[in-house]
Amino acid sequence: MANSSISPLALLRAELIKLKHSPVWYILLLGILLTASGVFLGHLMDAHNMVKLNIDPWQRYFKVSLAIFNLFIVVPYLLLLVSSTVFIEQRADAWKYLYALPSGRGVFYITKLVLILLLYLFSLAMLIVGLVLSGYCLNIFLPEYEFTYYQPDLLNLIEFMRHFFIASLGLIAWQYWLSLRFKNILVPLGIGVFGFVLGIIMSATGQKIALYFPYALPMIVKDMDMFRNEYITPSFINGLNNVELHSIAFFLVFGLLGYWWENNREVV
Amino acid sequence: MSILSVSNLHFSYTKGQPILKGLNLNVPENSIYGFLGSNGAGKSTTIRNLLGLLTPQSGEITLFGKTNPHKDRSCYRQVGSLIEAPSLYPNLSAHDHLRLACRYQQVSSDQIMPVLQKVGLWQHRHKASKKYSTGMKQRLGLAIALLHEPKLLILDEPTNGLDPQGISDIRDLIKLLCEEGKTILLSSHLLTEIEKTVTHLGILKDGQLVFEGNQAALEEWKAKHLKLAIRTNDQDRANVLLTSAYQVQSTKDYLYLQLSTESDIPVIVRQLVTEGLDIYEAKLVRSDLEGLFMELNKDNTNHGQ
Repeated sequence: MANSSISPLALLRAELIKLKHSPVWYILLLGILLTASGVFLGHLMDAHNMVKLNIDPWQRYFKVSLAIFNLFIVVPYLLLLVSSTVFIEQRADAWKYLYALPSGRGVFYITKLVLILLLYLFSLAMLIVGLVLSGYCLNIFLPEYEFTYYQPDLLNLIEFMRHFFIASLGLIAWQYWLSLRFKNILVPLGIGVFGFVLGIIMSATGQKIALYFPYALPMIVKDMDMFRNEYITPSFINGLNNVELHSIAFFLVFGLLGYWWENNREVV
Repeated sequence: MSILSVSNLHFSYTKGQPILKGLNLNVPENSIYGFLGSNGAGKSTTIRNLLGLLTPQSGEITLFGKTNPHKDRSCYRQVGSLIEAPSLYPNLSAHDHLRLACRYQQVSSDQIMPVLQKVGLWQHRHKASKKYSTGMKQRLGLAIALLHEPKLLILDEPTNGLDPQGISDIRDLIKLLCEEGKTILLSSHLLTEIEKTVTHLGILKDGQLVFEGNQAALEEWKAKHLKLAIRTNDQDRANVLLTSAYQVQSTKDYLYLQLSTESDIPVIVRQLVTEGLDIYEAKLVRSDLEGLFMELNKDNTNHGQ
């Protein structure tokens, strides 16, 4: 297909218009609230097992929060985010309109993928805000842990998020292609849930195959004291570990495969 | 001059089951080209090939002088399309849809108001499209197709699901657009709608065009397909008397005679009266588009001019 002369920014703005009143925002909000409120309530009910007195509570608080996010939230959240973003087009039967435009198909494929990545980045950023706010709220009920006395280590938190983000790329590209491939939302979600369960089993039992399974990669990218992940080895490329490298490789493979498939499929 | 032409187009979804079998068609500039065919004849497949949604197995499509436009889509800037039900995002209003289209077509948002006024949706511009009636959705689909002032408008079954008023509104709008200088390719299986609207006609049967011509060609065909329906006091005898000179078809009430000109009528009447038959009724039956369509669907004779 021919290249587009439409500016990428105009296309991205168009994508944002489509999100108006769409379930994507609710999914985004739900992901953040579920993590922040879950961690908040967990600490409120069982604080003495989660944080220690007289030491910086933020480190332990963030670690527990991210472990919960890592295991229970991130994969299902990404499944919903990707599928529902693509389903906006499926529901409107919009491909026949979009692909009849002069721009060609590739630009729509790339713009939608960029939108998903930006939404994921945005939700990770909002999660940082949510976790910090919930930590300060916790101080109202549990002042003895002195959340206000210590400063949250935001740089460390951002570093964690960066690893999550990179380790999720392979899963995003795969799930994106699946969502484009099937016209309904249930099939890609069903495959995704199956992959999520397999990913948990592989990660929890320390199977090395998890390194080659996109659904498991976000769960094992950082040692959260939950799984045996001794197979994560330091890498030689700019501080990326092997889990992240595998994720980037999956992203490139599935991203290109999806691009080719989308450019060549018949729109019936 | 043809704004869109198709030559020897072949397409099949499954190997060995061709849908389009060497289709040829020519859409002249500033015409309303009615693209007629029964369900499954290949109309939508043709249109999807024209728009580059499907890739032809062989053949040539020329759009605004550019051959095989799906390889370099720049000439689609001059095309607006509405394929069956419009692609609408249920949560977005008419105004939002046109804002989207402005971004895709790279036109100013100043275009939104006139186009919504043209299709009569300006009053409802902030209502979510899921609350629109079928007719309003079709009109919004048309507004999206018209926003960038395309020279060619491709409409696939635009009156599907509409009530008579909705059909009439769309028909008036199409005629207005043609008067404004646009070329319209209008696909439909509704014969009366096509007959009332188009300046040119193409009839598709089993993936091939079996008739192509303008209104004059259609009128010429109609003139050649006159029938006289006649009822007498003795239909069997009348049948025997007329069979030698005319092609006669007998039904319960009438004898139908194929005429070559209107001047055959008094000759027939005089002959029957001379033979002592009483004529109760004699009426001229003019063939319409339906007649042409039915005939072409019976045999595969090419009436194209």
